[in-house]
Amino acid sequence: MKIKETDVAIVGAGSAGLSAAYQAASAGAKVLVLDENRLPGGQLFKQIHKFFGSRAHQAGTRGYMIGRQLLERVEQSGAEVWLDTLVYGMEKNCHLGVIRNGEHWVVKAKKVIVATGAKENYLAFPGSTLPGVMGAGAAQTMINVNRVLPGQRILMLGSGNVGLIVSYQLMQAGADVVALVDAAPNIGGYGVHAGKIRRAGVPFYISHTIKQVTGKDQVEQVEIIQVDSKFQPIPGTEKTFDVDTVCLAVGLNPMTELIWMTGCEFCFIPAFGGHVPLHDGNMETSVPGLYVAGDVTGVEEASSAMEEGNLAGVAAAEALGLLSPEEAAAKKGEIRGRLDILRSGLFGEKRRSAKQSQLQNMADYQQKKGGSL
Amino acid sequence: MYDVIVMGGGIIGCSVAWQLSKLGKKVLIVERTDIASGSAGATDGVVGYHTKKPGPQLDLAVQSIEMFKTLNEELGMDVEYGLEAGGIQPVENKEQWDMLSAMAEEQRKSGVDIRMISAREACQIEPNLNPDIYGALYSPTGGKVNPLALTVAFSRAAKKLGAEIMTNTEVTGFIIEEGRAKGVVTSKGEFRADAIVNACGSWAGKVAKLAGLDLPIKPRKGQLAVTEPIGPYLTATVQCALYNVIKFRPETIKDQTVLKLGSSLSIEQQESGGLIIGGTREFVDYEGENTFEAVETMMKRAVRFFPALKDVSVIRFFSGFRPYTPDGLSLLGEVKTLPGFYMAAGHEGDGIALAPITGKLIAELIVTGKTSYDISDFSPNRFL
Repeated sequence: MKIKETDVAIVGAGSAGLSAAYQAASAGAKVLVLDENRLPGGQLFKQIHKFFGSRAHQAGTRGYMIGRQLLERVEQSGAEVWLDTLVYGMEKNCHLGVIRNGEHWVVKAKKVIVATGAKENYLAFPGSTLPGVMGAGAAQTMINVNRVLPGQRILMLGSGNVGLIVSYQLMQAGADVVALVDAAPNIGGYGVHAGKIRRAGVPFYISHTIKQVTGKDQVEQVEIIQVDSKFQPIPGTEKTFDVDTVCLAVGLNPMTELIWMTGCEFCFIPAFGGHVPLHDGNMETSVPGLYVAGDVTGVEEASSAMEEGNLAGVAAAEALGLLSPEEAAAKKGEIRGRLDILRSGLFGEKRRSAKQSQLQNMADYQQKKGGSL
Repeated sequence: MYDVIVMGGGIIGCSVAWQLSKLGKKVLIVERTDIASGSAGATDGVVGYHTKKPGPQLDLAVQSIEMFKTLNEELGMDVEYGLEAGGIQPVENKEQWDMLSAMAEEQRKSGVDIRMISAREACQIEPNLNPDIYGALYSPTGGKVNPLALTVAFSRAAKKLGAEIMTNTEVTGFIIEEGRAKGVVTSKGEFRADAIVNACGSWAGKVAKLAGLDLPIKPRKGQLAVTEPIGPYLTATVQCALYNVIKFRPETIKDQTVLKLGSSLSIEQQESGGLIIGGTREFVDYEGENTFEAVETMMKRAVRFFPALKDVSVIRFFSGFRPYTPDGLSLLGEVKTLPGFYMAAGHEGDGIALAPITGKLIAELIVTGKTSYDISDFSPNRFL
């Protein structure tokens, strides 16, 4: 067992983790970023589409370009990045159990920031374990990172932004998307993404779901069925498609396993994908010295994840005495302002109220514990 | 009003409650959290002879293991008992060989088939075992069980016969009248009975203290791992020789880490395909966390004896407490200074194997005042 000591350890080298690393290392902290993947960047390098929002959030820039810039900044900041490194556990004192190059390490950091992101939800139906049924995110990794087409004829379940964007990218990569299916009565994602797919002639089946997938050794056919207003299937409305791949884009849930191990307090927020850790305005959880950032605090999107990472990095540096309260307050004020913008408007409103209830839960918890707010 | 109140809804308490119910007694189980939430829900299911201390403990195990053969039928539930799984203890050097040979000779006095075999023979029985060993101890009989299923089966069978079970109910004191135990005070009120059984496992010492009894049962932590399900890999239950050395001859161990963690290998494959890998024996009060030190020690030990495991994923680490006693024997019987108060606890790592016989004998003692098998060696009064 080898011991590694550092000021700040960050689990996850995605949007949030890299942003946190940049902020903490720039302030002078000794930073170690750990990620189980061979490449840093988390989901960013899979995003070949242009981001939305304001100029402050690099609207119009493609996701992987944002990832490249962020990575360069992190490299220049002096943060150390361990890739292909598995964090398999965390003790109550926030020491991390780590496997790297077949060696066992224990990482002891003064502050730990968990930015492990989210994982795809799964949906069970007859045939859902056949090879060829996969998460939309998995399909996106295959085409945009590994450059392998998962199949030729694809049915996408779920019309949120992930379902829409991945459908379009699958088409760009040369596959036929035969249908987009969603149980809800409306298309879930942005109109601009849906429009591109519609114009390409892909039929949308709203108020439909998958009845079953059939095939001998792999997916050969998928049968969909219409559902009523209570999401109950309506017999006689089945339609069958010949496909070799079925992608599931039915939401994400936060990867909170490490955080649970510390005894951290959680609350349940469906809009955020399930159980999420309580945290305060500095992204610090109910476990002193343990910070969270990005989708692990509740599923949102890349820009919010980067801002939460910035916030956690600044707060950790401040707690280490590397930033004066005035310097930190100025930086945090700017970041919080940008976060407010990201959580405003028609699509941001739901996330804003979810985040407010999460922060309120933390305040209630601290009050119960007799701590300061 | 109940005939008997059993404190503790673990494998021992539920076994006692079932046996008492079979004898027509009205039983109440009072459980602080939930059925099988203590040791039985956090252990492997080894039911072997060779890991038992020679003498009374092994004699008792022989009686108990006999009972396992008919449990499925009697309880009306599959408890995943594998009768002929067998047990192997790989030995690493001559010193261990001599120690286990001497122990096996003592153990054979209880009429069990336990013998020393060569490394080659051991690998013929378990082909995945590392051939780089000095030899092995082998016990062809004995097996494994799903301890969680067995505890639930005991509790359901008891309930069917009229027993009542109160979970999330903590014992906070006792009703003692004219020097006799007459009932329990709990977080959900007072309940009276003619006899009270302390089957609180690793917490039995604490509970006894509420009745003013000072009994030396201490919690001993065991850490374990469970792997992803894999194909058939292991039939026998395997405990490395250190397992018995730590259990019976700790004074011979020089490595301080091994001594502190009490770390040895105990491994079995469950019916579902997952391997349960242990373990440690640590005195850390009720601190139940897994530690990185133990994780490393256990995994190295597992790969030492089963090299192919290096490519198998562990899906979870967990831990449980075992009720330790200074002389390695459980406490079974009525407390002389407090009539009506019975002990059925302190089995340490043998509780799963000894659960059936413990239930039977304690029930006999309460109902008839005597037992069909002499348990005077286990009397709690030896500590009073």
